[in-house]
Order: sequence, then structure tokens, then C-alpha cells
Amino acid sequence: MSVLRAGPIRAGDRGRAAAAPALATGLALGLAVAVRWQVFRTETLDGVTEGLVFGLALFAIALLAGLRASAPKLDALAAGLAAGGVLVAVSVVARWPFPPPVLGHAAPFLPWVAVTTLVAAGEELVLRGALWRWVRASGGDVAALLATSVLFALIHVPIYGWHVVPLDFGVGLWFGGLRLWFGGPAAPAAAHVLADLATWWL
Amino acid sequence: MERRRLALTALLCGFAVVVVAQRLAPVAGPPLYDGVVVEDPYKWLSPPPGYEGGAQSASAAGAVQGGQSPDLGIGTQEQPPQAQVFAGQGYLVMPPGTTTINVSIQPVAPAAQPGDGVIAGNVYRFSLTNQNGAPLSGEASGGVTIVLRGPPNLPSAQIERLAGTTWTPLQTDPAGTPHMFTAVVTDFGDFAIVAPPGWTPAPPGQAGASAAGPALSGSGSSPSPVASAADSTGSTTPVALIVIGVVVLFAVLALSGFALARRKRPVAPAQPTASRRPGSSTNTTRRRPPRRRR
Repeated sequence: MSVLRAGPIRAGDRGRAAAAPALATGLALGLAVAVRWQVFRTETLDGVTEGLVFGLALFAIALLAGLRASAPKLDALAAGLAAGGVLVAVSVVARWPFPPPVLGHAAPFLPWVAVTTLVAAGEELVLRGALWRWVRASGGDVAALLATSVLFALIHVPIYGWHVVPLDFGVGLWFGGLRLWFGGPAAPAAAHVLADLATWWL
Repeated sequence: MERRRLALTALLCGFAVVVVAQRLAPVAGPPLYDGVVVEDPYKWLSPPPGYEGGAQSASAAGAVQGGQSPDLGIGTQEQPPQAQVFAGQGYLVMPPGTTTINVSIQPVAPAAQPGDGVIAGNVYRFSLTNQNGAPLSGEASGGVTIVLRGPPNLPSAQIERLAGTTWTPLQTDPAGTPHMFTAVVTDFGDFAIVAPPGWTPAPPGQAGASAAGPALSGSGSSPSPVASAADSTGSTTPVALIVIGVVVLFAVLALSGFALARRKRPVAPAQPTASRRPGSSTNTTRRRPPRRRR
């Protein structure tokens, strides 16, 4: 993938040139999800280790797909945290009037936080970082928004089932809106991490 | 400006879809079904060869508050609990004179086999009674749910209730995490997850746990102590060190002013100025103006 992006891209060829890395990034993501599903199904690894491996794989995919480091914007991070809070609030309100159950946890807090952060950030870097960029170059912002939202919903199906598709598609659009507004994956990553971490208490 | 408009549209559409999805089918689990959490291996009451036994029970008692049943949430002691019951305040129908509610959940041997599938995991007996032992029931309008967790590799399943000698299917929904299911109930008794005919549990894994959502546990008086590291993952210590190392690495990167964002779009190298004429059709690689700072 990094080879594909190395050379200059002429304006007229940009769409065609970006299609291949977009496809490769999507396939790599699919492979990582498939391997995770197999590990989950066979209980080959415990949950924390499984998440660690999956998260590192996501970061590797993002880097191979051409994502590079740059300074995050504070306003993007703040908005992302606020957007994540909105998701949590919607989830809590939707259950009303049923009592919020008190949580027990089968994992120690710090490793769980670390791996959850790793996985959530990794998903955003692949979907709304690398893949978004290639799909946008190939088909524009709308294509990037829809493709990443659909993929975001689908990658959760193997473990959680088809019932998560509507909700996660909506969340994908929500994150995509953040991506569009702030121009990078920092805002959706912050939102995603916060919403996932809230599950410790929800 | 166009991009901002699209962003607003996406945010509004996304929010609408999230609200509708959550409201129509609220899932008793994580908002995003993501992240990494851990669950104990399934504990069988009568384990098949090679599987783990030691299914737990739970019991609690709660006082009636202002003539209404209290909020309650009770779960067995596995992580996540293999059987739970939740009732909103006032959703339990109590005999007159009820002052205390006793709740117990016990794994029991199946008194009968379902005709439409196989029991996946244990049968759990849910008992809700008042201080005199008189049974309670749930409001017909809903508000009382049970949650059962089954063994891994359940493709689809249904919660059923044993009425006499007949298993009766209940409207069953996923509980937000893998192989957990929930159903609204009005009567208590024996409940089980029933899998399609021919289902068998997956062979025991090499590790003790796998990924799932965080565990819901009882908000009542006794069950579900927080699991220790050794309880949950076996070899947690080295894993924890690795994970903490990853977090420290990220923290250092973040504090150094780095975060991952999109790379600049590649641009073709500019041709020498002298060889170009203004308005030339070959001049297709214009440099983009510097981005405006917000």
C-alpha cells in the first residue's frame, strides 16, 4: 500500500490510483476482523490479549496505508469528547425507565482501559484516517462517509451480531460528520474512545 | 463550506439514526459494541467432559419502598453473570402486605427437554417471593427482564420458560454482548437458552476467557464481586505490563505533540517555470494554496 502512494498522482488519475489502496486497506481491515473473530470463536487468546493484538494490527494497517503523524487540534479533541458524551447520554436515556445496572468487571481496569483505547483509536485511524483518505480521493467525501460508516457497522457483526448494524451505522455517520468537520481522525477517535470507556460504568 | 454542510448533514443523520435505533431496540450493553472486555469461561452445572463446572447462584433481599417494589438487579457471580434479573421500580406485582422481596437465581437440572432445540448451557430457576414465600410476578406492561449468557459459539438462540413440562419460547433479544440474550418476563420459574437442534458447545479453548462486553451485575445486596486479575485472564500480569507499556508509549507521543492524522495529499512535482507558458494546457499540477487555519 505504501508503494502505491509513493509516486506522484496526476489530477486525472487520482481517482483510479486511489481505488487500489482503498481496496487494499479495506481488505486488510477485513482480514484483521476475520482473524479476531476466529480467535474469539475458538477462545485461543484471553480477551485482553486478543484486543491488544487486534489494536496493534489496526495501527499497523493505518501506517501501511499511509497515515502519518501530525499535531492534533485541541478543538477537535474537545469536540470529539463532547460527541462521545452525547452517544453515552443517548444510550442511557434510551433505557429509561429501566434501572441502570451496576457493573461488575471481569478484567482489571488499567489493562482494559489501555486495550479499549488502543482498539477504538485503531479503528478510527484505519476507517476515518487511512481508508477515508483513499476513498475520498477516489470517490469524494460522500463516498468516504458512506463507505466508512457501512464498514464500521459491518466489522462489529461477527462478534456482536446483525442487530448492531443500524446503531453502528448511525454512529459511523456521527463519527464521519466529525471527520468532515475537523479534517482528521482526532475528533472521531476521541469520541469513540470515550464512548467505549463509558461501558465500564454502563 | 461545502464540506461543513456535509459534515452537519452527517452529524444530524447519524444522531437521528442512533436515537431511533436505541429507542426502538435499546440494547443492554455498550453504546458502540466495541472495545475490549473479558468474560469468564462458561460455568456448567453438569459440565460435559473437558468443560468447566461450578455454575454459581445468587440471592438477595430488598425492602418494599413506599408500597412499590424497588429497583433491583441481581446476577450470578460469574463475570459477566450467566443469569440476571432486572426490575424497574414498581414493576413487580406483589401480594398485599408485602414488605420484603426475596430474590434467588439457581442453576438447576432440566426437568424436561425442549422440543424445538437443545438447551445451551444451564437451566436457571428464578424465584421472586415476598417475606411469606408468596410468589411475585412482573407487570404485563414490561419492566422486568431476565438476561442469560450462554456458552460461546451460539449462532442464534431463544430464551424459553418451562411451564409445567413444556418449554415456551419468549420474545428474545440480544443483550448487547456476544451470546447474551434478554427477554421480558411476567412469570418466574425455570429459564434456559435454547439453541437450534444439533447445536453443540465449542471445544474448550486454550485460554480462559474471550472478548465480550463489560459485565452487568447485580445492584442488589450480594452478588457479583469484582473479579480479580487472576480470576479473569489467568496470565494477566504480563499482559497488563504490555498494555501499560503501550499506553505509556501513546502518552509520550501525545505529550510530544504527535497524533495520527491524515497525510498530505501527494502532488506531482512542478515543472520548471521557464518551460511553462501562462495558460498552457500542460500546466495541470497547480500547487494548492496553504490551508487556512481555523
